[in-house]
Amino acid sequence: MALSPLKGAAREALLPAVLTAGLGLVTLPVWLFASPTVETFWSEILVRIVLVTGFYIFIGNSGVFAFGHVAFACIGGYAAAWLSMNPMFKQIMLTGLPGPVQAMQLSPWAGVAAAAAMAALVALVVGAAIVRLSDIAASIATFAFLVVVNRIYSNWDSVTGGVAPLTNIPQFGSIWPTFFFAAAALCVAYLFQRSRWGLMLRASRDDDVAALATGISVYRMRLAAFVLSAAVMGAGGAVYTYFLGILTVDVFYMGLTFLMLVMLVVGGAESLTGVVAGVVAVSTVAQLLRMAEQGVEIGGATFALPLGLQEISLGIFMVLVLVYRSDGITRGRELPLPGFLKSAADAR
Amino acid sequence: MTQFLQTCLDAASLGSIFALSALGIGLLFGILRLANVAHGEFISTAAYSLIVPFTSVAAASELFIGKWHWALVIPTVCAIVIVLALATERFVFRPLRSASAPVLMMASFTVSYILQNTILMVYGSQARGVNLWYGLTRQIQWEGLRIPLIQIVTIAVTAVLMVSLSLFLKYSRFGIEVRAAAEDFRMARYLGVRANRVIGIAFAISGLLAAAVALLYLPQSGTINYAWGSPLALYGFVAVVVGGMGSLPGAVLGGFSIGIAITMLQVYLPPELKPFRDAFAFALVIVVLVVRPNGLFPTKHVMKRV
Amino acid sequence: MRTPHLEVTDLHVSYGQIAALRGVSLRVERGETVCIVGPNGAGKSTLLAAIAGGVAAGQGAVLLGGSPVTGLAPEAIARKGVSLVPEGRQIFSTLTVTENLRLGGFLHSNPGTARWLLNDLMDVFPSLKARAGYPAGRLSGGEQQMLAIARAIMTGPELILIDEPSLGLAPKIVDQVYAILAEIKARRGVTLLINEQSSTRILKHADRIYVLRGGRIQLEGRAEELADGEAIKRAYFGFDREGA
Repeated sequence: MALSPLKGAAREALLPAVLTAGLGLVTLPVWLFASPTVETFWSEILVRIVLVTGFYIFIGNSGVFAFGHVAFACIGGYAAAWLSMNPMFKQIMLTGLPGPVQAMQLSPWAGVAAAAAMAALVALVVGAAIVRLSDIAASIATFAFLVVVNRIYSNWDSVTGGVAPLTNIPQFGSIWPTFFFAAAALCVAYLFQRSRWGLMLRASRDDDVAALATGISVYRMRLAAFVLSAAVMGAGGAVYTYFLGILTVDVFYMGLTFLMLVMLVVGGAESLTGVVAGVVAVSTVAQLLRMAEQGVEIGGATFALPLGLQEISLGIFMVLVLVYRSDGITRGRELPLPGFLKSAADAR
Repeated sequence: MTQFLQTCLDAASLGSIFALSALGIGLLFGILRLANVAHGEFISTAAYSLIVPFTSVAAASELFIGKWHWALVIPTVCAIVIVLALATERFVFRPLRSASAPVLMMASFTVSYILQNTILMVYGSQARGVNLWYGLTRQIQWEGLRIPLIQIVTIAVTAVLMVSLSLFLKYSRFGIEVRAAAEDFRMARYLGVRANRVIGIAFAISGLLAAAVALLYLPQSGTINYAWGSPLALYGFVAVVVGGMGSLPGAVLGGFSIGIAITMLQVYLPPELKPFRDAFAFALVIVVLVVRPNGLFPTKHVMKRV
Repeated sequence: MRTPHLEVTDLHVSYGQIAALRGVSLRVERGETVCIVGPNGAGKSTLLAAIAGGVAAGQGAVLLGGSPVTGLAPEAIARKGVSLVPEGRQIFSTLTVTENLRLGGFLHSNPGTARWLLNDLMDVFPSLKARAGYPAGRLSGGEQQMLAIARAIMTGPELILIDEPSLGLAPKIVDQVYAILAEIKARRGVTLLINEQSSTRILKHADRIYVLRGGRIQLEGRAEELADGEAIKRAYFGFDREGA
């Protein structure tokens, strides 16, 4: 038990290191050998890890179920498009953008940073009001926020192009930037949950009154978690946009919200390991179902599931998880690190 | 003046729809703390049950139940939605009875997702024209006003439903049980109130109200798509929050206020802001939750639910 | 040996990590008045709620007239003749006084029984009769306590569990509450299991007393044996252990 602080820190840094290394170990062969289909599939998983981590930073630490975080991904996605789209197209499609923004074309890296900043700024304003609410009121308010953002972005034609897709957005061109952002999101989330504020927020999750009694301002910690998670969501929205190279407003609405929640709940909403496990498990199951919908050839005959069964199965799966295993497949625990890694860290 | 009266009538008719939707949502919230996102799909299911699955996409889709005599259509559609509501209770919400309110909301989100995709699978994603009760779209000329018959019917049916629901809640045995359960479920059970039955009745009423919303709104809207019921339920939500969550009179008042607000915004909002009407409505939800968590019309005994 | 009306054996209840009851056993004979005394947080309310089916037992059993009721829903236990008057009354404040009472009577298969009980109770509680149509939330604290007791009797119980009937009431009102309880007992021959924080009044009314502290029974005895209060005090405060 008596670890020196340094050894303790080395040991603690292992979790994001192991998670990142695990993702890297898959990304490398995918990059080297895999077909474009597989690469797209894996890239999408990495993007989703960014997004679900964003969700997790607020929900997992505060215990408040916010249903509206996809709104920040929407804000981030459009920020990316505004900054990186081909200026020629901006002048035609987005006439309402301010002149300087219309003229610029930033690199995806700068675009992600700007998207995160913009989402964080909006979150600071909105969060100042919303995080005061508790429990179901907070859930409903964030849900309402999602609708507000969707309505604005769907209808502000001169700035967002309305419901029409925005095209000519540069793509990353490689899987590695996406991997980098997934790893970065995991590290940010980990640093926050191990920080003083993160730990106190987790304590307040279990006992509001006790936290108040010790003089901790739950409000300020929640707001910090809200802003940070919005920043990661914003970055995630931008990464998603650069991954697809095309942007439509309805991508960032109920469907994505539901998918993120499934991943979070399936993985276990209270651990970072759960985020990765949930995204990988649900994405894989969804992909298999999608392939089954397209048809499997067995002995010359093609068998296909009816179209739409993928979504329905996913929904039923979610109900089963909620009923029978509401703390997810990780049961809210972090990855049990292999013994040899732990002793290696202790030996340092 | 005529213009203003016309607008008032529009507002009252739209408000009726929202109030019915809000009642269905508010009833379940009061008893179970369930913010039922799937209420929209209850409404959609009612509408889709009227037409034949997988018909070719024609201007007006072929009616199925909708072809029957209205005296048969109404009970059949109500029965279908009631059975659906009871089934979601039995298979999703009953196993989750001890779950927290946000988990319940997530479960209802899931039910909504499943139902919406089932509709997509069975009926396709194309919008479908539904010609229900064409006669009701007729307009009555009166003192320079052109009143669509359906608006009168909507307001009248809503009034009848509300009066009977409040009489039911006020005087019947089930009504007393439901109101007691809404205030303190555990204590009601200590006195022998059967949880499953009270919740079942609440879900059945909620389903009935969803069917009523669908049948009243369908002749006005004319076309449906797989997400048709969602906005109606979302506005119901706004109404429930504005009316003070858990208070049924509040939900009705909230529904009418939202109906009036939406109609007035539609008429008097400058044209460039009209597309943002819904954004205003939902921003109002956040403002009310933060500033007046007991709703805009606190009744004498608003329970502290939020 | 006669079958006791209520028997609790080795009952364990915990809320998450926190154990509220750690192996409680007790017996209540038919027609007895038994009181559980204990400090705040001793697990008294949890014990009554567990008997009434409101909280799940982790281990142990509750027997009514010799047959187990552990794990049954509260509404099912209510139908077996157990009625709970919870701490803080928990009356339905938006319902009228009459509606509160009618609610308690719904479990009778014969509506006539409920009507007869209602009329009978209105005679026992004239103050409730005077306010029959009022929302119960507008009653005074003492009247609310009377209503909670009357409502419990409406279910036609053989065993009434009463959680801290004197909580938050003036001494004079508490006397009235106990007088009413004595009258009901005389009229209907019910068994009473009462929680109290203070033992002074209880010694007069109870046949037997249990002292509960830290989720365990510390002492059991007949009221007359414990009349001087010394043994109760020691068990209540745990003097013998902490040596204070």
